[in-house]
Amino acid sequence: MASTTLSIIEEINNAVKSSIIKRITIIEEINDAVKDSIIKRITILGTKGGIGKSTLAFMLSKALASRGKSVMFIEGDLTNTISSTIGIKGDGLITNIVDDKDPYDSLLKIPFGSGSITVLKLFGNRERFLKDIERISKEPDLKEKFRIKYSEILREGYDIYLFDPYASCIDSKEFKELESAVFRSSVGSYDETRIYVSTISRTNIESTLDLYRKIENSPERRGIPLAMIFNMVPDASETYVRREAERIQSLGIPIILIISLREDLLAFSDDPVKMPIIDEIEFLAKVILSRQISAYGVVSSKDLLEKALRVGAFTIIQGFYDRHKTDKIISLVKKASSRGREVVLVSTREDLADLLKRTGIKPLEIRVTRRFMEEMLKTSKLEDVLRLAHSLSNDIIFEIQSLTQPLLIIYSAEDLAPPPKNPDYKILRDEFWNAVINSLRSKHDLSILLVCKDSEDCAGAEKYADHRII
Amino acid sequence: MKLANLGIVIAPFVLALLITIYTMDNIITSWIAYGLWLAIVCSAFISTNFILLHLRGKKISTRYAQKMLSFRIAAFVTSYNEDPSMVKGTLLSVKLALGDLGDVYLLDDSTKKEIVEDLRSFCEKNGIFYIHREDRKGYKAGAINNALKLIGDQYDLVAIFDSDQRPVRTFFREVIPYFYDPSIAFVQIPQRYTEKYSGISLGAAYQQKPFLRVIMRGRSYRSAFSLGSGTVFRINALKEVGFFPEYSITEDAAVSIELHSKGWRSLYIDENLIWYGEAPPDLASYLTQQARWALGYLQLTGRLLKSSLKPSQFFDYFAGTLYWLKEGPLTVFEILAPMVFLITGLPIVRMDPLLYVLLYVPYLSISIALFIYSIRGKDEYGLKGFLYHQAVEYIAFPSIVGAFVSWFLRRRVPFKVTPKGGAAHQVKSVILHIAILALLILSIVKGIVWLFSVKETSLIYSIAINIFWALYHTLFLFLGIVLSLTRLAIEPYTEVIKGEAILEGLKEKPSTY
Repeated sequence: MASTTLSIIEEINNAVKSSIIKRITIIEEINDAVKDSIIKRITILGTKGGIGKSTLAFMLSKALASRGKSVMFIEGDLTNTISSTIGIKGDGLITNIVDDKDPYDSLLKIPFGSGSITVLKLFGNRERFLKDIERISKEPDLKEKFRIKYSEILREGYDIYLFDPYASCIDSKEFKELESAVFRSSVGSYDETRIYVSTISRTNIESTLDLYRKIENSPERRGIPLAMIFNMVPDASETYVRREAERIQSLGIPIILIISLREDLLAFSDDPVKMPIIDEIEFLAKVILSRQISAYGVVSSKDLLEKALRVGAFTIIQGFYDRHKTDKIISLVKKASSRGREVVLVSTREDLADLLKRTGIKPLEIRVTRRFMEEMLKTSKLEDVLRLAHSLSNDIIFEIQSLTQPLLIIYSAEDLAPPPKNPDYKILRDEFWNAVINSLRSKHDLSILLVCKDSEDCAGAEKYADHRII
Repeated sequence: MKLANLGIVIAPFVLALLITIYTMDNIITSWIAYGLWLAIVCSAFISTNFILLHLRGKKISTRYAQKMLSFRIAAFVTSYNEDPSMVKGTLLSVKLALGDLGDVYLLDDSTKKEIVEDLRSFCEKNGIFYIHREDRKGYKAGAINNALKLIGDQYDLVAIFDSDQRPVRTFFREVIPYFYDPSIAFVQIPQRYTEKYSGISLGAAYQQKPFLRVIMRGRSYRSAFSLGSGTVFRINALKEVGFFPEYSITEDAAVSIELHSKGWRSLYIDENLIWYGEAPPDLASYLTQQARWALGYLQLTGRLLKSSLKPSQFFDYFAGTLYWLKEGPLTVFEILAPMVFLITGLPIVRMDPLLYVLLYVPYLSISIALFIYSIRGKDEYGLKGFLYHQAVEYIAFPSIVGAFVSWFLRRRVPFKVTPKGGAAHQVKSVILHIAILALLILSIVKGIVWLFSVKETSLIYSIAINIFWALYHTLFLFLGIVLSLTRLAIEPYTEVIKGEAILEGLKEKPSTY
């Protein structure tokens, strides 16, 4: 395991080094390593309090739970913000064990979306914290009791364990080892990933990087680093952070996420339960649950939207047709039309056109005919798929030939691609999108936005995409 | 009239005459011989046209992506004393498909007071314009012309639907983009018979397939004509030809000839854009429909001959005329010939029977094979379809003959809408067919007896050939009679409550002129 992971990291390193947010390279080995069905342990790490680490960690739990997962959120932060907000009365698992009280007082399950979040308050208040840890780690009775109780709680069966530890907890080597040992023996096989959170302050970045090196280079470490998050980045510092992020890429972190400072979220700072889930965290949740973890490089929603508008750019927007997705399309369309660029909507449906019209934008609608879909449905031969792809793009070009640098949105891509009834449909889709996109790009100056439900629908297209927005 | 077109008209008649003279044996039966040869020549003409259209249809490329255009559309649904629940269902379907692209109008010529009241209040409730006429002047054409005058210049396009043909939701989005070409006067989509609950309705559906899958496809962009329902017209084009001619009871084909004569083009897109369509439910309604179509088409003959259509267009239209001639009067000769020969022994055609077999058998089998082949893959037709198709044509021929008689007498049969709903299967309607069947069987029996009493080889061949034809006619006539009396599982008409619920949210509009 360790050696494969090491080589994986090397591979990621090479891929990322050579290109900063160019093509999205899918690292197959990681795909196999991280599967949706496997239990996951995600640790959120940071070196400083007040950087939004717990907030982001809990937000991530919500995003995962809203996707039907049963998440255990283990709060190891001494402020115990989440535990107190949701109403956990107990003094924390450790303190309860030391005081011989019911450890379940420190546990509370809240349903969220189609899943649930169970919050476990690990430590008691600041005064007790060090003493309790000391005793648990040293006294065999307490150690055994902790082993039993903690294991009992973990064994309830969760899909994802999200661990939000207090920074110095990492320093208490004995407790850390104890906790990991109990976790391993209780949960069995699981994947481990780590997310690092930092602010933009120079010292914070450096200390986070030190932590990163310490953990990731340690021989005992399990799993892989997943992301480095720069939190609360003001617009003015974006360029600086980007430079830092690009520098850090050489470490081989699949995702470097730049999260802007959101004034609107400050109102929720005392209530993480009610705080809305931001796009960047939704993105992270989708990556965690996806069967593939790709090297995304530096990701910031804002940035991706901007890049999608470049002439010649080909961007994929993936995900269910929810508000987040349409919001993104709308903001892109608004941006494009504010710059005087024509918006062309290629679709088999009317919903997006209707939506855009309601926001005051009238796109040029190009309808893919029934004939096309009927023929595609009947087709299973590659040559027929290619013929259809070329005819389709020619017909599209014919309609847009008089427009200068339009933003072309191919909406509901899953309706157009070769249907999955064929065993070779992945290859067919790959060839189909390759033919359509390249033919469109070679014949006209435009930006292409391919909107599809999930990666299966756009299978193959990802390879040619300059950017991907999830 | 163009000289070339005149040539097309005269050719089959002259050709049949020449063959008749060449093969004449007995002056008394020569008229039967002429009818028989004319039937064969017409078949050859129709087949040639069919094959050419099949080849042409294959070449017409369809577009896969098209720009949506913003046209203002009026959608007309025509009705005359039909079951109001069916009309309502169609109105809702059209309304849903049209969305905010325009307005729906019901052109109701119903004479039954309760139907009028029911439909009027339904339209008021659902934001559909209701137009009612008392006099039925010009029938359907008159109703459409009247409505077109009422709506003035508010719309660019007008869609016409019969009350038993319901468009799918994407209907307009599929059809409208084709109007980007300013020379397109109308776009026609195929009619569909989804409601087939009797043998005859199934046969009628099969009969439509060669026409909808091959003939109309091949006529697209050249001579595709309006089928009266599922057509979207450019109103300016209609204005140019003075709207719908009221001289024919098939105003759809009539207006198409007018438009084509003026150089307008038409388009047929063979897509399933109708999700609900009623087939003639029983024999009576099927026969009425066939007679009406035949008479309507015949009423166009004069106009067709005088038209300035291009020869290729003319050939397509004239093949239609020949079709009705072949399916009506000429079928009489085809049935009569073997019957007369086997019963009376009077020779009809003098021809080496061996040569006949050598020439005709391959011709017949090749044309049937080609026919089935052309439709293959486009729809389920095959041998079963061919049998059903032939069977209903054998059932329809007396009615088509009737249409010819009406036409010769310059009689304009009272416009009778194909009755819809209900299924009265009456043996009464097929009494004539049963009588002919009896005569055919008699002639076969006589023929077989005769066959064994002669020694002359050529006579044996002649008798055998005629027995074959008598058997051929017997088979299809028998099938036709069986079909006419077959009733399939009838499903009760389902109310469209769901559609009404969907529409509740739609904006109300003033109704009734």
